[in-house]
Amino acid sequence: MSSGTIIQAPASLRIADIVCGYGKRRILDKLTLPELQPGRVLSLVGPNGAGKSTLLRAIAGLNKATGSVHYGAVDLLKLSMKGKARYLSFMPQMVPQDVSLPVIDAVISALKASPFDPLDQANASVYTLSLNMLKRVGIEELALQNLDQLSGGQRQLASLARSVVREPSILLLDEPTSALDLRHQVAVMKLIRSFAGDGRIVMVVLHDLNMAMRWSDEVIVLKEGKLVAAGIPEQALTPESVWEVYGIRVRVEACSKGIPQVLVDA
Amino acid sequence: MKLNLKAVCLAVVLGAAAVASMGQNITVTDIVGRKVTLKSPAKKVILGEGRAIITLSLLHPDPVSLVAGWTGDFKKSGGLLFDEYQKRFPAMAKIPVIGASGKETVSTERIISLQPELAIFGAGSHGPDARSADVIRQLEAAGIPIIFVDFRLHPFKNTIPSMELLGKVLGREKQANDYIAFYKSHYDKIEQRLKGKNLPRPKVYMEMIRGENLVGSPGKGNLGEFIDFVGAHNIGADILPGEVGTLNMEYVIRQQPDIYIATGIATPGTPGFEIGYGITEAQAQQSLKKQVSRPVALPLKAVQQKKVYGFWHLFYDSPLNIAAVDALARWAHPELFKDIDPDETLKIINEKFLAVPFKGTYFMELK
Amino acid sequence: METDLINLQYKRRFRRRLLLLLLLGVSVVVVFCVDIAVGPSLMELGEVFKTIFAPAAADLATRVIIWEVRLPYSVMALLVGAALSLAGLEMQTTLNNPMASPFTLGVSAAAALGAALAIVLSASIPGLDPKWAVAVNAFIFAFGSVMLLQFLSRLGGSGVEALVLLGIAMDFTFKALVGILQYVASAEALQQFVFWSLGSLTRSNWESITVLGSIIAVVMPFSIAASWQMTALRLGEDSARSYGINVRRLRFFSLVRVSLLTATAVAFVGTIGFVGLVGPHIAKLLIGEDHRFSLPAAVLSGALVMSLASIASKAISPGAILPVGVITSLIGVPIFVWLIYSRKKK
Repeated sequence: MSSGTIIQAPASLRIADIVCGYGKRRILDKLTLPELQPGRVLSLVGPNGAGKSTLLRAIAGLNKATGSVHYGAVDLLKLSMKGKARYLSFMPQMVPQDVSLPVIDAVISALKASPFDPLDQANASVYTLSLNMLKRVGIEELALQNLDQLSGGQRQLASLARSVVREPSILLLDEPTSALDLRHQVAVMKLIRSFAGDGRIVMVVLHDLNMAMRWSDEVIVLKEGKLVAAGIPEQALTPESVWEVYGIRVRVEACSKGIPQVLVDA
Repeated sequence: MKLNLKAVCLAVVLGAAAVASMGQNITVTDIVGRKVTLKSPAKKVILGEGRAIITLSLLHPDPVSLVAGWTGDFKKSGGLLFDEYQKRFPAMAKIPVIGASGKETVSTERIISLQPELAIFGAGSHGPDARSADVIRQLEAAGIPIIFVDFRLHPFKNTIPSMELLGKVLGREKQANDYIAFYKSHYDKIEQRLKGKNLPRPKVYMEMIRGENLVGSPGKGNLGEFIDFVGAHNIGADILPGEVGTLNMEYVIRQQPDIYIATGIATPGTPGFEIGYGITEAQAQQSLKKQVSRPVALPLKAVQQKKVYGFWHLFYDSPLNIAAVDALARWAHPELFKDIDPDETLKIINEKFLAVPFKGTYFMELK
Repeated sequence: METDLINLQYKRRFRRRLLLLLLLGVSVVVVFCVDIAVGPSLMELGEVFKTIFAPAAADLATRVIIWEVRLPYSVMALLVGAALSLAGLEMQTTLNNPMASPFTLGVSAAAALGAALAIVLSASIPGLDPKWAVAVNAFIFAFGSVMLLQFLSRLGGSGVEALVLLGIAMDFTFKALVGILQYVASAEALQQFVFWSLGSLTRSNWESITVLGSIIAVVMPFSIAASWQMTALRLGEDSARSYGINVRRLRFFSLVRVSLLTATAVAFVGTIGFVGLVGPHIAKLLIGEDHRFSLPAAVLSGALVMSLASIASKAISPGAILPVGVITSLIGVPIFVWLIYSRKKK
């Protein structure tokens, strides 16, 4: 088995009526999203506190939620964490910085620690699988470096390798680019596109609207837990929707290469 | 009885008043060298350690009547002896408590509010002692005289001066002098007989047993001084710099002490070495036997040769230490001191001096 | 980089960590032998080992010195160090806090409270032989404190930060209760308690060694079996959960192991601090945080530190025994500081 194969047959993702909150405070109140097809990258944008991370965490099962998240015929919300682990992987925004553990072992641990082991389906060793994943994210030369010796960008790539090595059908990424330099931002977004290319569904929280415009297939704009706009980037990211959620005046204009850009006026 | 007591008190007060009116202040120098002046013998005293009531009961038939306040340690450490005192002097239950056992628990404010005529502290003690600068400063500022006595830091140097002091400040000089004379006769007998004899000093291993474990052995000072005085050699003193410490049993086995001595205070049913008030000889025998049946005690020559002894621990801080000294002398040099019997010494103290006689087993030899 | 080169280096690195474990193990054996060889009676090494292997041939004194004085003391040092250090590492990982140890989160304070109740108030389980009261009380309280910690944190439904804060709060509470007990204690009981709480290996006997040894033998395999999950947890709770690890269960059973190890060790030898904190850090500094290696390394480094402390407690003043709880800190700190600085230089 070579890396880049997903385990479950590709299916679409239908998220409906999600209710989720902390204590009595409801962050998401009956949120329903348009159906998402396999192979697509969906960016979630919106101001802080809009519920973007909460939505990802609810789908991942990290926060308690009601509603339904259907992957094909399976309602992921009804599955245990162990059951969900067959379908999805969540990558948190923060990774511990002080762990003295070789990158390759960190990736291996994602495979070995999981009660659901994709090795069931493969003949390759965990080691080979992990090294191939590091090659795919382009940091195989760091395989034997300890995590605490890496730069922030390198650490994020290692974290991405850990999340994908288990070959999830759904990849949930919480602000994967927010602390990275430009080179690593681009590297991460290119990888995200490539992971989607395997037939995965990728949901990614982004703050940079141009990044969302440039790299996603679809964008949803959230405000206070409600859907404000959804669709292909040009449809969702309009001066109107941006004004509504951020209160900031922008223009959306094509650059000399014809790619739409969000330009801030205020 | 009550009437009698009142009469005695009245007489004493009148006597004291007479002394005071003659302008004869009592001035003494206490054990730590402080000059203390009292207008008259003290009738209301504070005891920095509750167990000092035993000392007072050598001097006064109703020691409880002298006590204006004390720490709670006699109740906690006295075991059945405390119960006996309580039975004899029901008023004891009403003595105001100035603190628990430790010096840090003592309330100076409480002491001052009791308006005592005198505070009696040990120079080195569980209660306030010569190092408790704050307590001393506050009480002196409140005009409450303090005297320091000592039966613990240097029992041989200080027991007699301490008794003299107590006799003077309590107006019980006759009783104090009687006890001192008795004490001296026993003390001198041992000192005289040992003098110039240059007898070999038998090696003594002593351990203090509390609960399941021994908490240590005497080093230099206190019980170590007892052993030294009776012409024996405390093997702990060669190693331990302080009063108490833990010896390596390997060292003890290699030293091959001639004599094993345990001290205990356990009451029946609690773990440890049972000895003291209300304990029968059989109970003490059984309990000491258990101590020397530990595997580490088996190779000791003293144990194999049945030179195993035990005594009640609280002799270490009391003018009654002379009885323990007699016992140690007898055990260290049985030939030389075959006429000395610690039980007999205690019997005399019981009959002649103590307000509440000690009943039970205080000294024993393992059979 | 060539894949083959990475493979080679990975194998080499794996072997190096195995070798480090082996070296650590050898040092433990060497230090243990020194520990057994050290005693005030300056026995010849040959005689020591002859007595160990053929006790019947030795005279009574030598036999008792080796089998009842030196061996129980030294073996208990190894076991206590191993148990507390393993417990410390598990706590640091499951609570995601490098300062966590049985001694910072109230486990040992709870044991002290149990011991104090037995010593000061003679309060223990009815019908229990009083000679076991102190140890049994210490065990029950230490074990109970970890269970209480779990229960309270579950009530709050909050994360590990809350668990750590609760542990610290419990530590202070237990210490305050011990203080109150000390206040009402008699001078003699107080002396006994202080002696207990300083920590001493002189209380060791073959019974307690068997019990603690069995606990470690039972608990260790479960620790090792959880090692990959622990490594994944160390890299973040959220990602670990999304990989399907039942973190709550992992944490619960880890803390059960911690309480068994700590409670048993403390029950027999009293509160010996610091090795539960320093042992795991020595292991991590030497071998990294792959729990397949760091768990056994923590066991060995804890045993090593305690063995060194055992030697020092006998050798500083030959003939006397210094409280080993105090010595542990004195031995552990320099090793710790040296490791931190030597690692910085790298």
